[in-house]
Amino acid sequence: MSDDAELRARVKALESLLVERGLIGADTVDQIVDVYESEIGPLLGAKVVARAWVDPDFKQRLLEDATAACGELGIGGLQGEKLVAVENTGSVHNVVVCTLCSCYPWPVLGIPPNWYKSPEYRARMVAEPRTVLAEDFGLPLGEDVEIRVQDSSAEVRYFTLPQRPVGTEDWDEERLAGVVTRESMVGVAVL
Amino acid sequence: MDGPHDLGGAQGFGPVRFDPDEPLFSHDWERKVFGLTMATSTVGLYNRDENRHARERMPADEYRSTSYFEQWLVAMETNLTELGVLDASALRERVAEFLEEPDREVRGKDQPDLFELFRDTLEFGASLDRPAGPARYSVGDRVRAVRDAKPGHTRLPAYVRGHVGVVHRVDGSFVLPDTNAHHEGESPENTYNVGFSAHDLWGKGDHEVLVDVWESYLEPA
Repeated sequence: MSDDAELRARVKALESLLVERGLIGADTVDQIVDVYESEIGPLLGAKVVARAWVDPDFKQRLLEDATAACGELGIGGLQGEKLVAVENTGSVHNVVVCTLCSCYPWPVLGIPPNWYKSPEYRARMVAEPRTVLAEDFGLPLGEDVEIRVQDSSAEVRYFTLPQRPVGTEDWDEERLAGVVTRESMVGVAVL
Repeated sequence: MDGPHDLGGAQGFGPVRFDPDEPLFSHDWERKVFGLTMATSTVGLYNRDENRHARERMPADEYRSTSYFEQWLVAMETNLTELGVLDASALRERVAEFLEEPDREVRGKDQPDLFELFRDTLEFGASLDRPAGPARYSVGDRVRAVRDAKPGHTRLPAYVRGHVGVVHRVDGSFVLPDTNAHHEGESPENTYNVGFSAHDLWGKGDHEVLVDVWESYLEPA
């Protein structure tokens, strides 16, 4: 692994040459990252999930064509050109991984967290999900729960539709969205 | 190719270090690498598949000992110099200058139009769906993932090679990464979501693993 001083110099060298050549602007990099730090993240996916919980017709459209259903809420675009939502129930539990790199539904969940990109997650989730979920994420699933691991190896970007927590029957959509976590939409947590 | 990136089922890895509160970037240079990658791909200096392939053809020991965003940095350095966008010796000299003067700022002209272009890409996406012929397989078909490891870029995870699965969904046709990464054309193919039993893949486990594959990665079973 290179040290931080070397990495900082390599990054500045690339940026300065690209700016000098007029290929990018001096303002471009910060403007782009700001978008991902301030506008895009799991709060968007939480809106989708909360809508599906309160609106059965929307939920059906979401499970049939998540790209179109998310589009109804103005959610979509880069790295979410083809979205699929998979439903977690008491009997079937889906979990999402990308073993080859780090494919992730950016417009719904933002850019992926470190654990999702880690070699440990990528190597082990497809082979021993029951153990990884129980031991590393504190999510022990009953033997009767069927586990489906979705490896995002082509163009579809997946997220999971978690079960609505019990005791929230009289909550409105906004309050519901507040309890939906990123982890529950990747399938490493339940609510 | 068999690359160090193809990690599904690889043994010897310990617990996932899960921290729900960690920041997206641990260092400012990581933030810059992400932004530079998005900027240079928005301008179209290289395509997504050759970006992935540049990471995958890192020597295995180097890939394993570098962090995620350092792998992204290596891919940019590789592609921009190999494609002739930047001169390798000029890049080395510039790195040396910034090592000498670590506090020197990057200065130059702003390009508001480029951010607008990025905004468009962000909103409308950069879909690689392209028309192809009729799908060869249907939902419920039994299919076998091909056994051969191709020499260049591919998106068939090694752990399903030679195994039989069942088509769960037909997902439309997309640019084939295997040719696109090497500038050999888009060669669009139909794609499929195929389910494999863990017991068949690993000899143990009761779960199902669903993998997304291009049509030429499959043969009838």
